[in-house]
Amino acid sequence: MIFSRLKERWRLVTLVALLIVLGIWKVAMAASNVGYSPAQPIPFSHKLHAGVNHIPCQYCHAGVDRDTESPIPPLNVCMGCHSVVDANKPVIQKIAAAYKAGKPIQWVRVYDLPQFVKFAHRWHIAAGVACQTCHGPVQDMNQIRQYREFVMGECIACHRSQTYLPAPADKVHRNLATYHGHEVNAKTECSTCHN
Amino acid sequence: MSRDNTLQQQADAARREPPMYRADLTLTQVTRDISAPITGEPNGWWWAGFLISVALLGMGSAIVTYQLNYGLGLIGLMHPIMWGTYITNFVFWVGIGHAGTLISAILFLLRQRWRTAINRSAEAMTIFAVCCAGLFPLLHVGRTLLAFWLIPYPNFRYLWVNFRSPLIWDVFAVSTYATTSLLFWYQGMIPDLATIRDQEKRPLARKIYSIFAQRWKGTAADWHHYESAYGLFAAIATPLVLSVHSVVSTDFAVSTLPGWHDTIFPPYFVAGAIFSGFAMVVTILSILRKAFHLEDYITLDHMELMNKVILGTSMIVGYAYILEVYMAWYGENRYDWHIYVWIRFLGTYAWAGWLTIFCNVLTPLIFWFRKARRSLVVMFIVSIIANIGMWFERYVIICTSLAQDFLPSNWGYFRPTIFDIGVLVGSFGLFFTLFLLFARFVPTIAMSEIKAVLHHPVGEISGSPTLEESHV
Amino acid sequence: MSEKRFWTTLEDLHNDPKVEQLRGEEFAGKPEEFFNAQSNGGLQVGRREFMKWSAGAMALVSAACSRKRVDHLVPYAQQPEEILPGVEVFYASTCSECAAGCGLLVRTREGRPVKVEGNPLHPVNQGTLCARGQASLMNLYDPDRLRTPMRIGRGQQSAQLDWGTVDKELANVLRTAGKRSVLLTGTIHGPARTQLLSDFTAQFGTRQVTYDYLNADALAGGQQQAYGAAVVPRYYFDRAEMLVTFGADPLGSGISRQEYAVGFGVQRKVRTENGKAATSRTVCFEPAMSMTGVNADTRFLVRPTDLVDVALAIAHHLVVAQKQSSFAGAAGVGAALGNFSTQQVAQRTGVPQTQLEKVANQLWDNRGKSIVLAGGLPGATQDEAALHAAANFLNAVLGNEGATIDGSRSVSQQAQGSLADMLALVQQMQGGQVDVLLIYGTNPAYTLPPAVNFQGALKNVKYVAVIGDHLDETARLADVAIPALHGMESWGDAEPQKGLYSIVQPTILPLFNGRSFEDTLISVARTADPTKFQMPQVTPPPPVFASEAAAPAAGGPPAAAGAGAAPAPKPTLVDMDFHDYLIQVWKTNIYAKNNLAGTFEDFWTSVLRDGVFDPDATRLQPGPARKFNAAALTSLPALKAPRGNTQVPANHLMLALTVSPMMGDGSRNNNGFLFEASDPVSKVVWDNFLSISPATAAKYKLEQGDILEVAVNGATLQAPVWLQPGVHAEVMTLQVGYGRQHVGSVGDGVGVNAYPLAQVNGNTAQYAGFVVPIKKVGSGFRLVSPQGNSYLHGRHIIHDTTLEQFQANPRAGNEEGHEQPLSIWDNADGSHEHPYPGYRWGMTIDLNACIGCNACVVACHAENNVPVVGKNQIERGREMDWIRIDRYYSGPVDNPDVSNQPMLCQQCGHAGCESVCPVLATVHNDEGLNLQVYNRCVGTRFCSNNCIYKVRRFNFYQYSDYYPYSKYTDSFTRFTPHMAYGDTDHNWRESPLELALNPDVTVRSRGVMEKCSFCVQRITAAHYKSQELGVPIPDGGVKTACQQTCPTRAIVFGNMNDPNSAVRRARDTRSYRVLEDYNFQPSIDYLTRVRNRAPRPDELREKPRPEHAEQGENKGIHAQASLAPAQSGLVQLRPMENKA
Repeated sequence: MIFSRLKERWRLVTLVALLIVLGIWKVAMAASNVGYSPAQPIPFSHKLHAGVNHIPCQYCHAGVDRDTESPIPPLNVCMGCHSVVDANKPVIQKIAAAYKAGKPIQWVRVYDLPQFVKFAHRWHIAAGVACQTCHGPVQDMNQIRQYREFVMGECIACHRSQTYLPAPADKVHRNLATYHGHEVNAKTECSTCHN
Repeated sequence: MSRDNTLQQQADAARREPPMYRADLTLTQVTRDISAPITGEPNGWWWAGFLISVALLGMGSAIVTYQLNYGLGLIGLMHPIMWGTYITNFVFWVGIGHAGTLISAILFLLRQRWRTAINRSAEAMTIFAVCCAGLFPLLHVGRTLLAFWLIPYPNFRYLWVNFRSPLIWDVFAVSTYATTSLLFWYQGMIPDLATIRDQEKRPLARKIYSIFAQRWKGTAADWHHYESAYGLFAAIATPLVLSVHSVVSTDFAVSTLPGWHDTIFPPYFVAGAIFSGFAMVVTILSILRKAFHLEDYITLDHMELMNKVILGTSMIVGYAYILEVYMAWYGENRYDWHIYVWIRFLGTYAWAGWLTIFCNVLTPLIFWFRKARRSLVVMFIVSIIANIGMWFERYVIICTSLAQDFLPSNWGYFRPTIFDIGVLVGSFGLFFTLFLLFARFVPTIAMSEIKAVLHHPVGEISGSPTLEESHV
Repeated sequence: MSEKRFWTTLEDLHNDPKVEQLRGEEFAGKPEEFFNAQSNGGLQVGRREFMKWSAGAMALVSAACSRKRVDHLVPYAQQPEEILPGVEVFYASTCSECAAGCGLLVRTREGRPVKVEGNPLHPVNQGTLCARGQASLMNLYDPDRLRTPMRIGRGQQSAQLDWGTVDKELANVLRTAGKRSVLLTGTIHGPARTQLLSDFTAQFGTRQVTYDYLNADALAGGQQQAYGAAVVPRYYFDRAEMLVTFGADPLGSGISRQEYAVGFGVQRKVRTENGKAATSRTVCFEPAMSMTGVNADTRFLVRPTDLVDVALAIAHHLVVAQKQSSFAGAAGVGAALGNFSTQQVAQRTGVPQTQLEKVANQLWDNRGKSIVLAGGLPGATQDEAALHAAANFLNAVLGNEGATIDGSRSVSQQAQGSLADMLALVQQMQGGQVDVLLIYGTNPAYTLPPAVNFQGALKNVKYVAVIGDHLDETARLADVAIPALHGMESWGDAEPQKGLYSIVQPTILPLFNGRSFEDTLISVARTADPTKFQMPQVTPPPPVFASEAAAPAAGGPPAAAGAGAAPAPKPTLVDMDFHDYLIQVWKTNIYAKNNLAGTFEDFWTSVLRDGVFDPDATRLQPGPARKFNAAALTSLPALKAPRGNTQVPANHLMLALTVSPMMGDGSRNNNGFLFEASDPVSKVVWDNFLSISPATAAKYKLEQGDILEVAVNGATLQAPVWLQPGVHAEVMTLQVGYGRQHVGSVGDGVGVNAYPLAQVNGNTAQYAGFVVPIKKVGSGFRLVSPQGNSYLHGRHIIHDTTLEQFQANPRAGNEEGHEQPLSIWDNADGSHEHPYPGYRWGMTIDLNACIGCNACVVACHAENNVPVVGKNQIERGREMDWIRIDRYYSGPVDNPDVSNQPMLCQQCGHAGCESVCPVLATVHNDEGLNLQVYNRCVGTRFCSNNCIYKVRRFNFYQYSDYYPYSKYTDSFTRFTPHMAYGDTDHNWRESPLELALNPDVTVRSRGVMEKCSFCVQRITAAHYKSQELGVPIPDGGVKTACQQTCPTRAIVFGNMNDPNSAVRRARDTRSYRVLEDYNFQPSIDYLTRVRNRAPRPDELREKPRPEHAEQGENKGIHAQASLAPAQSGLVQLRPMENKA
């Protein structure tokens, strides 16, 4: 009898422990925002544009190779095509109206870095990192959704594994490339992202 | 000369001395006396003390809450003096926390039987002092919520702590010390808790005491395990007594600051800690024995012995003071000389420097007189002064060294604010609240150990304290 | 249709709107709802909406931390071509903080200025910028600015106006008043702006009067007497190897002080001439220590009334005693100078005769390459005219006229204000001859002494309008107050010196409902006469949409709107704004001076790009020397009766007003950056004060913080006492520029207003030489200085020597040299250094060149988002400066030598901070930087304790919340700014001030440590750039903010791994590191200060032994021996024999 009681107790303990672990995992996942996919003021579909129609990312997000921020395309980029394409659709007309009025669309931010981090897209574009590495299969998303966690560990892991030798820069970092006789990865020192 | 001969001679010598406790004390009487505060109702003095302590604690907590909300700017910290009263309090309380374990562990290992009357309360004092001490580093960091980053743990940032930093050593030293002291204290308490359990009439209290007494039955096996563990803890705790304050002293000694960068700091700090710890024990016990009528157990002999320790350590501390000045002169370091001589004894902080000398070096000299050593009034006053002195010693070390360091353009002068003082007072509130609760709910004197030495002379030497024979 | 279309229903196929609607709902949310909710003026919660909110709430409750905050990304509707988010754009412009007209490069991000730098192409400031210029962003984003036109009704009313009303009202009153209207402005130069003023005044018959806060009447008047034209000359400091001042403070408060400082720096650098080390010599005769005096090689304490005597004594020695120059024996000169032999003057003034003669001889040795400068407020006694005459005479005698001074060609236009004109205007106002007064850019209610009775005179003026930044003292007396724009919001131009044209271009849209002064003038003029300020419109604006272009021709085929078919639009007249006017004036007047081929558009583009147009190559040289009119000297009544024997009775002191180098004339006082940057001389912040020498204070039992009442001719004020070494024993000084009543919540009531103490004698104002009784009315005033102690206490922190000693021994004053102490961090190869494979950043600071002007301090504040913490916090030692100027005294207490030492994070190789940080928040990188990682910092502050330079700063509070509004920050009021300041407007997060933050630098939060990072954000940017270009970062490719703005180029930054870099080349025998024997291996070298004067007896003794003596001295001797052969035979000048 005492054994069965003990067993029950253990079962209870296991259950509670499991619940706690699940709870922590749930909270952690929620805090990381993975899967966050808010409704946008314009039901823009990346799947249609990037997936079906094969429009390259940088066609709309032009300047991402020069910016620190990835530019959300201004309305004049939308209107570049949509003053002709599907111009009579109500959604497009909304965009056109907003464009004419000079009122920007307030998109809901999906990707958000933690505080006090400086991140430059252009550095990564120059290094040949595909957009999908961080943003996931955008071309398959109707509504944009956060693909992976944006935490320091993810940055560090990638920086440690990626070699930091984009074509033109190897001259500059010649010294670094042979630092201590082995190849050097992307910088992981603090000032890379924090200043 | 054979070992037996020696022992015999020592035993003979001991027998000539009067016994430590009254001859007519019976074992039952011991149990009754010591468990009286627990099983009975607390008297008015206890309530008065408790309410005052809780009030002070409440005030301290309010200030701390305010500070956590609005920032460290509330206290008197300023640009050159980035560590002020909080670190002073930390070192002070850690120092206080020394005496307990020292009395318990080292005196146990050295077979100093007079420790039995005071070891429990001294250990309790250690625990509570370390509690107080532990709070201050948390309060003094800029981002308290992130203070756990000082603990090395695997994390998604791939970040580690800096093992070169003395603050990390502090984290280990203080937390190890706190853990060991707590376990040591609790383990020594188990037989007494069992005694209380057996006496307790109220069912809930009985239940709680029985949980903490861990089914102690007083069997030979129990005693055997108990003694091995106790000895083991004593052995573990002993080096910690020396290490914890040595490590705390490295917070200063490892730095480059004149007035801090000193190899003498570890022994000097340990001596100072023992000095202040014993002074605190004397302060508390002289009240406790009065308040709980424990004069029979905490005798003047005990107090005198502690006063001797105070006198001895005070002289070590005084020696360290002199040596600091000597080293500054001998080392021909302009910055050291400025701190140790000009600032502390002739300049802006002379008041604090001389206060320290007066409290820690001059006042304890009165204990050269036997009469003073055995006078409760004198020892109470001296112990209070010693504690004030030791607080100011840390204040002097921390604030004067920071106040006027290398570049004169940085110089400043530390002015504590009302919040500094409030938090210090609040920490005393916390300490005494805990201590009064301890006096109310836990036997303040190790009954089992008293019983073991009840009818033995002070200096009797035997193989080991035969505790089992005393437990009836 | 090329694209294959899939459809589900017939309605879908035919694009039925219903289907479209359903489809929209089927996907995520309806955009309509978003727009409708906004356009209908509120949220209309429908069923779907309600369900959505409920679901959201449910989601929130179940997964408590799903997403804390919903952020929005707002792209442009029409993105401007040149703007990319996160990419900076620079605009060349002109500084509008004072009339000096320095060139700016305004760094903008996303259409807002975030930092200003000097324009390297601009000849006035040559890429540098003073502290006030660096702080100008605070004035641009000042939330206390006047935001909209207001009816003030002479202080009785407060009602908003619209611009139409303003235009009509002004047009009306001006038309009616005609010649009885006056336009009162501060100094305005620039071809288009002056042209506009004359067009405007011509249209209404208005008269223009120019009056500044501080006027150069006396200087110009002296020039007129001496040379016949009332000009402010241009001084070529870069040609002056010797500078002698009589009361003037060219570096601290000169008319074009940045230009002077740049030139001063050129001459001050230690260089080799004829195989010998050389540097310039500066001699100051002044009553109290000025910023120039701080940098003087020799200072003489002279009472303001004695300055004339001293100047004339030098002239006497040269012309009469030595019979030098063509003036020797000239008619009347000898007689005029008769009373001023060096012996007599020495008796009267206490300046030793030998010294006077020595200075005179040195000047003669440097004839043609020296400047004698008189004036400043301390020189503005009753005899100011004589002082200027003496200075002009000396310059003429020495042949400096035409060699270092240009009064004939490219004269300064930076100070055109005239007190005499203003006084005349007040007379006319009192006489009822002025009906309308339009005031812009000046503040007579603040600056005019009460005896002038400007306020009373204003009552006789029927209509007063003030155009300005703030509702200031004068604006409150007006009928209407009209906002003007900040220079960074408006178009404009400047001509600081004749022939030097500079452009002002806007870098941000007007923040408030403002309009530039010039546009207001144009608009008023056009309202009065609609034919004015019109221009033909050439082309219509292009259509936005192709479809829109087609829209008018709705019926016809689209091809009708094709390019060739449309008829050319007829030119019509449209309103001209000041931008158009500016272009027109430049096209007409300035373009012709352009020698290069190209259209006006090319020219205009190049002007906008360069910011400056300097076509006149002859400006490099001073114009031809003018002939000195000896009558200027001989006719002065002061010379007949020298006042040098003015007695200062017991219990009296002679008061002299001075100008604050930080606050200047006080016109831009709502600026926390400037109040927080300490006064270069006293190091006091947030106050002005009476400077009194310590000996005098002891004599009259005065203590620091005692409050004295000062009364001069009816004007009375109370000010605290500050004990200042280097003040004449009979003198006290007080700075003007403080004590604003109405400028904004930062500047209001800081210090006391000293302008009313000025005394008007006829047409000139007297600012110095008042003998006032000492009347103590209080004590305990808290004067706050971030500097702890001003004396070196025998510590070898400042290395200095004299030129003679340095010429003999290149290691003079720096005998320790570099030693390499033992290290516990031995590498495998035996070296002690951390390897720096790529770059290693380092800095060299020339103590000889640093003038302590604080430009670097303010630049660092602006670049690195360093908060302003206020007086109370600084009193508690919580200043946040990442770079500070330590100022040390040495030598005699009554007239000490001063050394400035910029102190910033030394980026140590063996940094104390790094090893003690428990969480690795401060770490070393492989470019030699000590990184401070704010994210990781938990705030143990051990790093600061272990930093031997104490350059780390801790955020005791969330200072960033109260960034510039922390005047009264203390433990209680700071949490409730609206309580402290009366309203919530001053929470800067709701004000435009947030826009001033540099987006590249983290805004630090409470509880973290911060410090200088060598502008790591600029280093990172340079790395990006170098990677893009595929070349290494060139030398000078990274400039720290402090370096970039330093007028004297005292700070050099660069890659120490590159042996040819400027930072390495700057290091020589003078270089040393502070506290070197502590072996922190700092990356900053300082260069020994070389004073160009004879060594004092105490300096001839051997230097005090360094702490670790033996090793250091041995090294020193070796170093000396190895350097000795390069020197002449003077090696043994440094007397080693003084062993007794």
